Amino acid sequence: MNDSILQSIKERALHQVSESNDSSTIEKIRVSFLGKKGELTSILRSMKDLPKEERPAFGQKVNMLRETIESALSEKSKTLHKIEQSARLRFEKIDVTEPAAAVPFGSMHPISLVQEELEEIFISLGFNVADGPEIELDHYNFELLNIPKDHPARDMQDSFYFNPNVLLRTHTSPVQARHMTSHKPPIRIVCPGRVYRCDEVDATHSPVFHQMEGLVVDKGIKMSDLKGTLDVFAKKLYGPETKTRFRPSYFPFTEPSAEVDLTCSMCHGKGCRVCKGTGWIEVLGCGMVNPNVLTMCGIDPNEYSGFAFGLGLDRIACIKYGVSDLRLLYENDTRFLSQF
Amino acid sequence: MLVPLSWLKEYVDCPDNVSAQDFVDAMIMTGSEVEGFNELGADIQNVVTGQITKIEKHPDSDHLLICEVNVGQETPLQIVTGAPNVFEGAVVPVALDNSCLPGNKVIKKGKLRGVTSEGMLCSGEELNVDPEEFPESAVYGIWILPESTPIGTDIKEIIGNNDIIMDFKTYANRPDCMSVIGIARETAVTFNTDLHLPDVHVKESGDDIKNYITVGVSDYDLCPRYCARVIKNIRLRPSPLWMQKHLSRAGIRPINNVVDITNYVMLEYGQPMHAFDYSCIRGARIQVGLPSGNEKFTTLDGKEYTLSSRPLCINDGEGIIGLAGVMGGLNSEITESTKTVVLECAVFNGAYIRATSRALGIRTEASARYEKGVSYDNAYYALERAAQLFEMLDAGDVVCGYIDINNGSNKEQCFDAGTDQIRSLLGMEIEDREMVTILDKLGFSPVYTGKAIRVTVPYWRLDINGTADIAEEVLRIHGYDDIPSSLMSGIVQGGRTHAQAVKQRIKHLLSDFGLNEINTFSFVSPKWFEACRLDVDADLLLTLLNPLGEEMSVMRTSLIPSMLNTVGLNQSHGNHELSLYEINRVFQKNTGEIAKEYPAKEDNRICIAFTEKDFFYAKGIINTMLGRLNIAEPEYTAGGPEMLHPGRKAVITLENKTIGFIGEVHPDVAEAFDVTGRAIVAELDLDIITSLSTSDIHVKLIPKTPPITLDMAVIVPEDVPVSSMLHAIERSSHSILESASVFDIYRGEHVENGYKSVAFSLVYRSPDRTLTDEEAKKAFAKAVRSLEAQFGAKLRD
Repeated sequence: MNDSILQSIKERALHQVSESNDSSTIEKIRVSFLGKKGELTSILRSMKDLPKEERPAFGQKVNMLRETIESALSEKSKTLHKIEQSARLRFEKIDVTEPAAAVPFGSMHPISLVQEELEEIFISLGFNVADGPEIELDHYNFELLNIPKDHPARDMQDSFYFNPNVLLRTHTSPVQARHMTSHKPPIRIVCPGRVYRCDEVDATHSPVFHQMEGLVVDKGIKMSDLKGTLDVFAKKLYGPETKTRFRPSYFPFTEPSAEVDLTCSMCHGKGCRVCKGTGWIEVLGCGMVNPNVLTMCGIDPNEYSGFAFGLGLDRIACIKYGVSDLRLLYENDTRFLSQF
Repeated sequence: MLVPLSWLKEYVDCPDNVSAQDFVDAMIMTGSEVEGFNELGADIQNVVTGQITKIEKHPDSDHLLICEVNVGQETPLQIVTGAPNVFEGAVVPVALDNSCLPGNKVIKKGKLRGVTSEGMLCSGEELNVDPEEFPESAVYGIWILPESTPIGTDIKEIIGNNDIIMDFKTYANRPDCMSVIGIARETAVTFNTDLHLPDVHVKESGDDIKNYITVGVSDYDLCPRYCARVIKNIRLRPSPLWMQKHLSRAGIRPINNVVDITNYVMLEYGQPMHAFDYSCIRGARIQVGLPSGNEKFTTLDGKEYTLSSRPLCINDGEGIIGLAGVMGGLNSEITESTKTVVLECAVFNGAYIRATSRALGIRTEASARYEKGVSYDNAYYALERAAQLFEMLDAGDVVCGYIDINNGSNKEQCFDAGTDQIRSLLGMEIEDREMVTILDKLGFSPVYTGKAIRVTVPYWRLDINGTADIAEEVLRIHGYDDIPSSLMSGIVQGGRTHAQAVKQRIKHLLSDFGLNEINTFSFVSPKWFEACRLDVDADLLLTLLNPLGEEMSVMRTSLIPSMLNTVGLNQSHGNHELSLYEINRVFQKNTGEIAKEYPAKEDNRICIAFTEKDFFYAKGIINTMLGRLNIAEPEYTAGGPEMLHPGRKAVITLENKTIGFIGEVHPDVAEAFDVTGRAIVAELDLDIITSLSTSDIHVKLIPKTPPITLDMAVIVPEDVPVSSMLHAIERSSHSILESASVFDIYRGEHVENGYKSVAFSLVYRSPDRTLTDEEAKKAFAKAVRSLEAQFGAKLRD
């Protein structure tokens, strides 16, 4: 009798399992047969009514049946899970062309980007980055750089004054002068920073702009070292095909002095709007440090020589990013800034 | 300075077959600065002289004529014209096939009423000929040229506009190049051609300058040399055409022969000169000196000046007749009635003339040259040249003798330039011989001494002091293109300082957090301080003496006003969602000893601003930024500057140092900067942040023991700061409290008005053993009690 009950349970359970088609039904089946109040459980509980000697055999049969049902349930459950998962995955299909979520999008100012790039180039060539005051003494901004009072070269850079001796630096050269007076050669520095000249704001002028100057002082520094250094710089900035061209020029703090053109980064020397058809863009001024400057800064020109160069970061940024109006750099319109 | 090639060619052989562009390029490569050039005849091309050999009537026209024209080619051309004034034998301008006329007119071979015309005969007007210069060109019809005119000649040769006007800019060290002769010297050395300078001989006409005038100089520092001549029997009239043409092409208006000669010599020699009407010189005496007081003086152009800046003056026996080196006076001007002139050719102190010119606001061709410096010797040569021209042009008679008052300071400058030194400075192998040749060509009279070259600096060069200058002279003629590239030897370590690296890192962090970096001017309007309610110590404020305008006149003491201005501008452009930062300096005066070396205290600040974000977003940005710099979370204490919302502002401190403030902009301040809506701003001291930042990281091991996390929610009055509650929890607990954090703050239903519910999550852990629930609960209860006792907190169920 007991066997037939077990047989009936087995048949019903397996039948129900095979008929079920979702995991909640599976769970119900499990509870109705194997749960605390389930059929098999109550049969097991009724085992105490059996004669003592029949109990082990019967128990064994019940347990076997339990395992059979459990394994059927688990098999079916796995199958159903697979079916349900693939249905869910089908259902969860998204339109991948919908817009992306908004991740905050910031930017560094183009002048900061250019400054960083140039700093990295010169750091890789063994240069240190040096800073100095923006409000300067006439002594460092002019006198030590071989531009005495009433020297016509002062016309080249009309200055903002606070009093006859204090002004906004017109170039970053005073950083070099301060460095030379306080450090012994070998010196290898670049000095980036803000500089100021009395120019009304227009498409190509700004009273506030940015420069980076470089200075090397050591024994046996030659003009060819200057050329070699700037060659490397030019190639790193605009690519390996870039060439430099030196032209004679005049700066009070260098002798000989040169203006340096690079092959135009836009047209690679073929001639375009940016280089006004010449294939060259004027990028920096340079020269061998004037012996007077070395002497005034306490360095013996018979023992040491050096070179210096300077370039406008604003100009480089304008060329690099195709900015035709300098004012864009200082208007800080986020529609412009967000592009960097 | 404008230099016509035609004038230049009078002093130097210019290479043939060199285009204007190539000429200018070559000059630039040897050290001239050329702003540009203008090819005068560029709009006339392919127009030559031709002779009409035969004229026939056009078969199909009443007024057209068919001319056979000989233009010097093998076969004559057939040209149809409508002009009535042509005749056989006439020499006329002929525009050939494919020629250009002014106004971009192109002439091509064509047919006129069925008859082939191989060009065009031209009128004076069509060639833009000046009728004053060529009166015969002004007729109605074709311009009939003199019969003697050679056939087949470019018409530009006839008109004389086959010229190139070059605009030379003068480097501050080369005042000698502010003259046609100076440019001629550069041309000769650039193209290695010969120089032909004027051969100056003065034909004097008797009499003696001593009978006319005496000259005195009060200060040789200000006037090292004063030369003068007297020209009598002035025959005032226009100067000859060639001189007028040179002057007008160089940009100077011809006036009369006397004035033109002084201008001509100034351009030719680079030496300013002035002509006084002798009859206006009172007391027959010239004295150069400073004025005694605030005298008034009227210059040639009729303007009156008060001479408070003490310019150097040319005085006669009674008063001022000229501002030395700047401009002459109206009281001694050359007029129709001038009979005798005194020609002044002087050397004045450049720096002093520059100061005068600036103080009075007068800049003239003369002052521009004096400022840069004129040559001591050249002053005398120029005077003699002018005297020669007076005689040549028959403009007057040169009185015998000249005046030359000077301090005798024209020492020849000689020094040795080592050739090895030059080579090692340049890093180039230039042979000694080549150096000598170059220096010879440049007028340095080089003497080679085996290892050095003894140079004598030419009198016109004021810029040569030592070997570096000689190296540049050699280099610019040898060729800058030839400089080789070498690399410096030795390995050196480059890099940024800690402060520079931190600044760089912050820029990257803030940009990566979604902020846009801005860059604003360092000088601002003083009104902005007021609008921002900034406390400014007027004594420490740095105010520009010569600002571009009041709105850019003081150095900023905070980045906030510029930031608010930028926010307002962006909003007006429709950019509403803003996250901005700026890292720049703020300024105030330094006082005391340090000011002697560093006139200003320059502090680095970080300013950030947000619109459409709240206070806590900005706070999160700051805390995360500091965290990334390995700086602990700072304290935020209610309070801060007046520019901020009184209930939404905080002072930020760390290790008892104030590092800045943060808050919502006060509505009145926002309005002053046209900022709409709520804006959150913060300003932080970068220098302190730099000092706190470190790249040292010490890793804490991950604990192996489990934590026990217990949460509580308490109700406290609104004004209890959450940070104080956290401090109380931390103080109440012993070492097993690992962390305490706020996970919810609630106001509303079930919480009485004026109160808030704050939920904390407390994590307990011991690093070396598993905690029991009892231990954690005991510590937790203590924390609750402490909140109850200190803040009247009530535990929520």
